[in-house]
Amino acid sequence: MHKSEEALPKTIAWNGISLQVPLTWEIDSLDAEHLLIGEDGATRIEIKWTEAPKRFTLEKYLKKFISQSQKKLKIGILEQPTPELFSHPVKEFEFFFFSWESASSKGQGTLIFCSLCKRLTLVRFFSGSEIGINSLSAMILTSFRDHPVAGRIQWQVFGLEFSCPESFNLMEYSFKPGCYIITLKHKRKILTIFSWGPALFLLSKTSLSEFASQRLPRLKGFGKTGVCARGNTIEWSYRHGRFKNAEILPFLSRFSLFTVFRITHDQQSNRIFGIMVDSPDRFEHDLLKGSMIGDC
Amino acid sequence: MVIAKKKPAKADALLCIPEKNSFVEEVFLDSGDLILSYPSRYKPFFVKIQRMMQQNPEKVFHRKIQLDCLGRDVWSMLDGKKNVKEIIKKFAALHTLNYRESEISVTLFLRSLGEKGLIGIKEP
Repeated sequence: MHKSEEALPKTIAWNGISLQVPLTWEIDSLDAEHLLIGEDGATRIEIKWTEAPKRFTLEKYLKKFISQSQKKLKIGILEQPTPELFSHPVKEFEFFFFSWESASSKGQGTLIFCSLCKRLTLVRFFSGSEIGINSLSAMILTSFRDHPVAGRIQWQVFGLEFSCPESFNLMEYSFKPGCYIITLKHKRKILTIFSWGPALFLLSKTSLSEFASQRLPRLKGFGKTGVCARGNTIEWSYRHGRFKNAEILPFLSRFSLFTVFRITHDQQSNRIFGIMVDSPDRFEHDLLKGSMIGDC
Repeated sequence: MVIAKKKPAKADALLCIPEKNSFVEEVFLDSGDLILSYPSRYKPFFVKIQRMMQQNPEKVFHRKIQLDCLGRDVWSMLDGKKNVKEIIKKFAALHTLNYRESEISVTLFLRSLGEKGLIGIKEP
């Protein structure tokens, strides 16, 4: 095993950004373009990114981003030379290293500009240590990626693991204790990923099929049983109108949606995972394949 | 002049130790749920009504709340020795939850117990 893989066994992938972190690090807070990762309640790393405007010069873009970040994060940024022997496997990345200081803490950081996807990312570490060769910070930076691989975007947060075509955009998300939901959209196709837990408690008085019907009352027909890598699955496939009784009127049938919903109880992680695909064209079983409960 | 009480930092709050109120009575049900019964007094509005009806407004009655097995697990960890952080970690391990999820659930639950007067919080 590679040294960085041993030290950083956990992947965090959110909205196009992905990086490897130590096992004990967890997401403290997130939004569409921001990640705060901590360990035992102490912040370890903050990542903030933005897409470049259509027309820009790198120098002006950097200056604007730095000044905005200084105001928003209430920090002072001081440029630093690139650490000796630092290199990154993605050649499209340009690094601008800095040190930062706020009223209560200080650390090192870097701005990463990707010439391929024109994304600018600010990464700041909350430890006083330098980003030297073989340091934890350098290994995390080396694992950093910001664009899709083979046209697919990887997602890996709070036990949810899936990939989808890069055309899908984050529509909404909710991470409430006991229920996580991520919704992605591409044109009229909607992909929704669910995670409920703790599963043993939720399924103590009901079956998986009944649980699914309680949580998603719009499920129609009978569920078909199957198997995936995480356990036994139940899958519903049905066509439904945009509103109640819409299928009675034939001219409204072109607005109806094909829905596939698959659910499984993952005993190892004590969670119930679900994935739903609504599509105007056909049953999109292919989109299930990239998820943690895709086909074996 | 009113001086605002300083809110403790999150890290300090997590080191506080919750302790059960000794007046709380526990009844375990066959279903695995737990009923907590605790003495309570009427709210000021009802005290006025009681007075108008010439009844004893100081009368104490018992309120009951039923905890499911998750609430029962947290309640059983309140031994007056474990701090909030230790309870969060233990609860996360018990139900295979991540730390953040466990933290939100446990702290909200402890807050609601505190508001009802079922627990007290002591500084480490």
